[in-house]
Amino acid sequence: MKRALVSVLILCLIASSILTVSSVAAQPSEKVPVIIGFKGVPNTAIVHASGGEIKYIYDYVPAIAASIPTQAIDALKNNPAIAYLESDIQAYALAQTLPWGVDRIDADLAWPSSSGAGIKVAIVDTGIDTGHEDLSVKGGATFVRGTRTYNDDNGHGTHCAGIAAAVNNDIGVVGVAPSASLYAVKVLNSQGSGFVSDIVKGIEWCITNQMQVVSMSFGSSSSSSALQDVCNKAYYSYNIILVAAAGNSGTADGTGDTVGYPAKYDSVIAVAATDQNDVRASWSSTGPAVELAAPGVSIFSTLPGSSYGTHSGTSMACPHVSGTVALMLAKASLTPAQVRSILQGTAVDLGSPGFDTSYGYGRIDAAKAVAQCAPSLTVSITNPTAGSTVSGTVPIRASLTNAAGSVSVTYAIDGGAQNAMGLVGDYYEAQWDTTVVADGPHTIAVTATEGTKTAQSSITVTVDNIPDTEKTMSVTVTTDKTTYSKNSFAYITVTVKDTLTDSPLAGAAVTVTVTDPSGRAASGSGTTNTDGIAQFKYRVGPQATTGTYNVEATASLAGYTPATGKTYFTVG
Amino acid sequence: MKTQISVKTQTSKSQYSVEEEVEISVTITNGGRSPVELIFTSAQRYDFIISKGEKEIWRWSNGKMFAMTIEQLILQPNETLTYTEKWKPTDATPGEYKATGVIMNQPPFEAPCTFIVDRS
Repeated sequence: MKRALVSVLILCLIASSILTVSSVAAQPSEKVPVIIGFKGVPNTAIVHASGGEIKYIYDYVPAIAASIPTQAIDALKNNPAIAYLESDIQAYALAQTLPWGVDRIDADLAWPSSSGAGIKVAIVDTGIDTGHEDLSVKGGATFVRGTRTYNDDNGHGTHCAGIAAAVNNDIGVVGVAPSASLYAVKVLNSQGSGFVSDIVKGIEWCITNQMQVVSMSFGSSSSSSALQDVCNKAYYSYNIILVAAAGNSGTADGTGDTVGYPAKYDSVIAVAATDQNDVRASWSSTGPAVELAAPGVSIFSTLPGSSYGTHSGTSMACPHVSGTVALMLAKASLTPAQVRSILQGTAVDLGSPGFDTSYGYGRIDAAKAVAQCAPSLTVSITNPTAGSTVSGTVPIRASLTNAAGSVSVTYAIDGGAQNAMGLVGDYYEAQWDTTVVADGPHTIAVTATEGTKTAQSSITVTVDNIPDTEKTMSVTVTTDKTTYSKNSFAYITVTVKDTLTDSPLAGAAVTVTVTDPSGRAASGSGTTNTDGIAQFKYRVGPQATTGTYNVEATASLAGYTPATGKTYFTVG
Repeated sequence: MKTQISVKTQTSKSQYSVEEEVEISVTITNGGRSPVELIFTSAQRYDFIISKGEKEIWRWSNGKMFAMTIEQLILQPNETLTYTEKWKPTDATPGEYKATGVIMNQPPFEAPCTFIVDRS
């Protein structure tokens, strides 16, 4: 910017000297902002001679932005040095545009059901502008010699990508399947042409990377065995849906077989182009291979540089179908044959009734096609809760979604035999006797089958039928003598051991109570050492009562049931 | 309108030795006083065909596919458009060859020229 201003200053000084010499009349006139593109190096003298004021001289494009008197515009346009002259329009961030094609096929009416979330759509083309504000490109590859990225160096691929999946936000445009996952497979160069060998590699990438829809807005009148083989492989062996532009070689009266390749291959859906009146574009190829038609005239979509523009061709019709397939696959698991059958059956029949070589089975209707897709059967286990602990007889309960007819629901424990579950109101139930399995983790798997459709869900629970028992202690109490005289000490030893293992227990809390013959009690507390022993001392006083003294020791330790030991001594 | 269009095909030389690369150009000129609109029905703007006698030896567009968009191009009065490609022959025998350049307008414009492949 600064550099441009400096250049302007310098050139203005030069230009002003030219102005004083020339006889251009300095009449007051309305000036309009324009951008002037030059065929060679920008010529500021031409701009000044026309009475214009230069705003910018660009650095990387041969153009000058200037304000030009309106009457000078025609002369400038005809100047042989000038490549183009266009209005400098003020660009506002407008609300999102719903392009007529997306609207015509009612894709927006399908979005409450499906917006193509997560379906992998490969745009096999010139690449996609990964930095575009209205596109989200998840990945891709380039197979064009001399390029290192799959960024779009032409514009065509970006335009097609936007038709299929431009993001639904508040800018730019919106695609047929705005939540689909876009991938750029660059096989066409900056001129829009590509070698068949690179295209074959590109389709192979789509297979390896598990693309679900492959959109091919290119063609040729010549067939290629290698391309046919890889298309057949993708479609028949990998269930990838292939969509291609039928071609732009149609005759005005719609006669002849002018469908190109790869559109013509049986494994590929050939798409013809229609206009805003639902009429075949005069150049749209015709023939028995045309399967469907979609909007392809004056289609507004994304262009590189977060820009937007209009293009026409069966190239534009093709991604309308690719996006619709993404909408369908996000709603239900369908085989490619089912996808084609639904698209054909729900298309708006144009031209001759039924199939014809101009429109195939008709112009696609995304809303009707998506509505025809039966969503997938699902099953979920509602009881017991995953990760919970269970015991005794447990009711296993499961709920289904999208079950249409008669369903068989069974459960199996740890991958064992299937057991039937019965319908109770609106859920399925079976009683599981957990006592037949050992305590510990077990998996419950519930399977629902309806015709050829099947769904499964599994959880893990912990079975705990056997209560944990506490361990037991033995408490042994001994005194150093059996008889004591008055005015002496009795030494009491308490030994605590594990009953099962006979090993001494350390850390047990021991309370010893000595009760004299008249019932007076004295207590003391201690903790057993590593030998399981706690020792106490009892004072036999000078006035001590003669008779039997009872000693009782109680031990308590975590994990053990409290235990007691007894002994006695006499004082004579 | 189309009568003001002229197409010319030429090779870089009139004579080449066997296995020498042949450079072919096709030029379209608007010889009239008004602009002419060219319409291309795909990204393919041109084609080149090399033939010897009745036999087609090489075609530039063989093994290629093109983006399927309609493009318009305006040719101003006196404006020309030239496309050039190279043919690398693998086993060309000496003799007279015909090179045809095609501008892929709908309908296409084409013009032939001849060149010699020499033993030396």
